[in-house]
Amino acid sequence: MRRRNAISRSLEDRVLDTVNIVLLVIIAFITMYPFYYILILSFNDGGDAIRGGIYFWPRSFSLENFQQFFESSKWMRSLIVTVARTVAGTAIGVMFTCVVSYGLSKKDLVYHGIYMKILIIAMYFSGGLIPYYILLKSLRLLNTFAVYVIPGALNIFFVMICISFFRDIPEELIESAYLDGSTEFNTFLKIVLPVSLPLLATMTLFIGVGHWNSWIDSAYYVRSENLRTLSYRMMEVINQTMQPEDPTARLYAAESSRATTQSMQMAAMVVALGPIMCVYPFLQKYFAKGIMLGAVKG
Amino acid sequence: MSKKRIVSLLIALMFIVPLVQLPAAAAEAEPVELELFINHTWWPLKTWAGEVPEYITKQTGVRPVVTVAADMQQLPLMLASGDLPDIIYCDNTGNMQSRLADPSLCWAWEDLTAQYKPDFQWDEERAKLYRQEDGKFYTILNNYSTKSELENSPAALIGVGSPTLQRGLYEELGSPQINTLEDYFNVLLAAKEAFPDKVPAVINTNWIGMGQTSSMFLTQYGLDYNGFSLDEATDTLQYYIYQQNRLDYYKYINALYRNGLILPENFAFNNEDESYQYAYNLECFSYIKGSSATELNSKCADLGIESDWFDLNVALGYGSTFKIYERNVGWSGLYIAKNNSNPQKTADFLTYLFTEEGMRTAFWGIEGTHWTLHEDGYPVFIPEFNDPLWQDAVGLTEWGLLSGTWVTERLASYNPDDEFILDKLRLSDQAKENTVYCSAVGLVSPKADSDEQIILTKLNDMVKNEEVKLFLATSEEECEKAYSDMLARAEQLGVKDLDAWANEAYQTAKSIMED
Repeated sequence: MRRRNAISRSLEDRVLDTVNIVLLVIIAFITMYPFYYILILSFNDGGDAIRGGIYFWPRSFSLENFQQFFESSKWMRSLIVTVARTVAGTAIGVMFTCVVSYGLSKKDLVYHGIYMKILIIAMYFSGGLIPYYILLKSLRLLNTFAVYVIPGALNIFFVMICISFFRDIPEELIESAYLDGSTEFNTFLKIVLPVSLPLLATMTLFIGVGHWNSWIDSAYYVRSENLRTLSYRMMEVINQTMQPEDPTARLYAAESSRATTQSMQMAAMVVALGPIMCVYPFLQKYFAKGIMLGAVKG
Repeated sequence: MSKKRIVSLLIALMFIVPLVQLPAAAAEAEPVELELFINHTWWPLKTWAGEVPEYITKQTGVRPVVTVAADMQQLPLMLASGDLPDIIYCDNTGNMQSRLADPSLCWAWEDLTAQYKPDFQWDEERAKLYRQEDGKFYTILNNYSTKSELENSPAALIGVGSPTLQRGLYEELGSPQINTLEDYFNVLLAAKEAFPDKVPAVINTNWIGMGQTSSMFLTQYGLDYNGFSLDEATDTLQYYIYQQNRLDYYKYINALYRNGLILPENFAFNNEDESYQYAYNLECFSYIKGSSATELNSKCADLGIESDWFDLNVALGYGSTFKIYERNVGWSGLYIAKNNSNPQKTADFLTYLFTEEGMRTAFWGIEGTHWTLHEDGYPVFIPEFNDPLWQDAVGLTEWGLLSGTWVTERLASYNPDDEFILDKLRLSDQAKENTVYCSAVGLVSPKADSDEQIILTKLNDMVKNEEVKLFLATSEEECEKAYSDMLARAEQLGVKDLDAWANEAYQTAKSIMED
């Protein structure tokens, strides 16, 4: 039998690699093309875009869509609200989750078992949309900015991961802090959190993306136009073109249409996607590492 | 009196007089803000802003804070959680009208006005249509006019949609006469042969079959788009797919498809932009949206494309036996929540909208500023009226849909200076001559969560799925078989029981109409 050189590759290997590469290129193209299409349409003149036939580059290059977006008080206000809720919601979510998790990571915590049972039940079961709405109403959170950041402050999935992670921190490290006279909270801030950076980065990314993309809370729990988020605005333009169920209403919808041009919608999507796509690559190393933290030992 | 004293007195008066006027100024207090929830995701006016809404606010002392539904789950969520807005405007999607007609949820209008506006009298001829089992009415739907109102308003034209063609191509074919659906079919065949690079016909996505009321072909065949249809000979109701000529309609659309006169993907377009592309690029011979030449030529001009679209202005299906069964009793209405924050002002707002002045202002604008009334009873608008941008700026015309009648709405479209007005008048007169008014049929609607509603929902879903097979059948025989299969499925789902219930309800509705 012919011995295969460790470095040279057989015909079968080359064929397999070629097929793999071709398939992956096709899949990558199919996956990436919709985003690319959105990008080129956003840079194409709106009126010209209606004619269709744009596939690989803008036929009539124009920055007017972005100009209209940034000049529109409606869109800018929603962008500001989205940025504000993402920053505030992420900071509150990360801090709240970490604090709760640190407390629950202490095995000598009184009623530890009961707390864990409550968390696990809450993670798997939900009261449903209507009880949740009633709860928000009774807490007077409806139609306020707080409805974006308060209900989601504790992310139970990450609580589980954080508990496992914090338990892995050497006990000696924490004891040495106590011996130096540090308080519990000071130890958490100055010893525990600094060694938990991968975890914090992962949580920041997940929670931040969740806040950035969320539109249901803006649709259902808010009525003020000044509190609408960017994702809600995009759902709004999509819904404007959706056909009503009632046939007579459909007639009026067709006649009354002031639908945002397709290219303006694309510009809004680029603005919404842009920040996340810029941040993601930088945090990806933390994401891959952090998501496994504590997962096996949990 | 010394000069010093006089000056002091004058200064004092300068302070006192405004204070004395303050109570009067306070009486013209800030308008009351009421939540107005519009349960239509497509609603274009997101705020109560503009010259016309402000005028209405001045008349009523109410400034609605508008929220447009994000999706169709929002109102059911508010309803289930008991957190209804002050005023809700909705159609019957999800049986919302049936659910809101509940004394624990909404005010009965006569109770509201009896308590807060006792001098206002509702039009009983309109109100009787919407009385519930408890004898009260919780809304009055828009877009309905009585037969006498229609007859007294000749300028309220019935729009009759017809195909839009490219004039240059049509003349190349020799300008053949197109008077019937068969003529139109033959012209499309000729266009297909003469212009192989053009799609013979493209149907606007909002105007394609499958239950679309606006489908030009449904209208041309005199067919209903949902619910129950009237068999005039026996004066009974049947589920709409049993209506006479329905199979002919399916076979016609199928023939268009089988002969390559419409694109298969026309049935798969998600929004009308996809169909408009063919029209704007002049890639189709005929565009079907129901007389849209003005719109197409205007858009093409904006895009720098020379076009010559024209409307046929012919009622293609109006044969000797043609009938239109007019079942309309309105489609959307206002509901006043029981937890309304200010019933007094709500009553003021509501009653104003339902006066003739209120309807006309909301639909047409401010009398004397935006329109004047012609002696023949139709409005004469200022030139800007047909400019959509101007309409947006002044807050027209959709607020007129809150309460406006069909006549008010149609009069807004009447333009005696329109170059095609004679055609439109002719078509409207033809339509009116062939119309059988049977509003009692429109009143037959099952209650939410009733057995009949469940059967009706299942039937509607079944038809939505089955109709595609009829349109895309590969032969006329297959189309006929698919229709028979659809009827058989309808029977399995309980259509006979539904028809039996509908005929009982129809007798009750007829007695209401005759009262």
